[in-house]
Amino acid sequence: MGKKEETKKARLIFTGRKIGAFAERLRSIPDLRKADCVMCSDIFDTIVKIATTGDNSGGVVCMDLQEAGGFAQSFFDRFGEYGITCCCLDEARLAGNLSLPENVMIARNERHLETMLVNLFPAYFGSSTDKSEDYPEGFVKPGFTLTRGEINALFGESDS
Amino acid sequence: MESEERVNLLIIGNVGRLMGGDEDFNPSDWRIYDDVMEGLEAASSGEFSLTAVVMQDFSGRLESILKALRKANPEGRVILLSRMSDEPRAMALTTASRNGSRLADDYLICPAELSRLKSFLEGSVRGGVDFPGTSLETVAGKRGENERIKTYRQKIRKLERLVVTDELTGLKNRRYVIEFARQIIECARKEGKQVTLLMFDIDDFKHYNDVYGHTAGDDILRQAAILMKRCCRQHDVVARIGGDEFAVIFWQLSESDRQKQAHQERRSRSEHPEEAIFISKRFRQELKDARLDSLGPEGKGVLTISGGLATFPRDGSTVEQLLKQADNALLDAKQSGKNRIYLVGKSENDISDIS
Repeated sequence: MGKKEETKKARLIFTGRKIGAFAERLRSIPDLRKADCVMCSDIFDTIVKIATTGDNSGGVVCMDLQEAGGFAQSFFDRFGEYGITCCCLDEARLAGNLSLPENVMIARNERHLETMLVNLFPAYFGSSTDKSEDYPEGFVKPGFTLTRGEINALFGESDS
Repeated sequence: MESEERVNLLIIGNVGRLMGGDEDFNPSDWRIYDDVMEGLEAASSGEFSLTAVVMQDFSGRLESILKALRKANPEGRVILLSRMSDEPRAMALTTASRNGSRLADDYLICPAELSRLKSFLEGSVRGGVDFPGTSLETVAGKRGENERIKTYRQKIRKLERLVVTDELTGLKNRRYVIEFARQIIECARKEGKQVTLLMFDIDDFKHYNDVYGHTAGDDILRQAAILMKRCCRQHDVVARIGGDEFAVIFWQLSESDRQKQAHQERRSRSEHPEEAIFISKRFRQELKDARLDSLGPEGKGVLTISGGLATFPRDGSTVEQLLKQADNALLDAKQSGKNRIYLVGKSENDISDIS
């Protein structure tokens, strides 16, 4: 039950074509290279990918907020029960119009998003190089979800 | 024998606007999700053998949703619940691509009774699924039954086509065009769009029938139908509504659909009713240039039409009003010497005077 599964890796889902080039660049970053990266064509593909996996082992979805369009609210609302965190690039500054749940984090530019992911992975899933911390089965601690306060402590207050 | 009831039908979208209730349809057999994300999540469980998607709710993202649905449940069948105005798109989505894949398996024109979904449901037993304890005879029996259901459904579809099609020309018939106009006017009212109705007939058609025979008359009608279809945009509805009377409904696609079709269609730069006028003018010219073999060597350039154009909301707010107005304009065109198309309210000028 509680033993570490060596083969199971942190899941990082890139959603939409807009984030494609950025995703390629991220894959060369050592901490993220070890993540189980998945490309999804759009938000519908993403929700199916998450739902068909069938477990609540969490993961991170990385996307451009524009990708969600009018389906943003319903899309993000589904994440809670799967333990998914979503890192959204929001260069168009759309987030202000949405009431986003706590597991959705907003980055103002690609650099901010990159920092967010690099910091999030070791903290959230356990560093791939850090053997001292023993996480249970899967890559996320069961029931563990970052609170807004913890996210802010990790990245600083997002600019408003 | 089965103690557990299987949930077979999943509906995604707001079906209330499209389908009437039916007591005969057992609600334990189906689930409805207005929210597409919840619907896709449910589809991913793989327990639904048939998923029905309300087209109008997701127009801009429909293809993406259907692709995701296929991934969510590759074994399940997908049907589209389509309004008449969405039928061309529904047809395109159910047509196999070059690699043989289809985004949807079938479509159902709505409004319809919920029980209509039953026939789709009965015909959608998953291939290769066997149940423990089922004898081979039963499996064979079920397969035979599936074949019968498939044939039955094909016959229903054929009948449905016949009910709305004019046999001689292959165009839509009066029944279809009136129902389509009713629905498209309702949409246009909500979306602040325009709909233009053209009614036209062939000048002196009786003369051709009497002099050249009814076969020649039929040929003329078929030629006129082909030419009009060729002049119109793909989504416009062309119908034969009586002997030599035709009707065309010109309507506006949504912006996303328009962008998709922009590369396929010949379009004028103008909008309603100017676009309808442009198409009508082109049709008159094509008819004039057409060679009508059934009328012999002197058949070229003799055929003319008279028509009347009426536009929603300017000339009427219901189908009946538009039909009446277009018919009045047609009558004016006839009385003014034929071979012209009149716009309602511009009876002294036929459309050739309008730039």
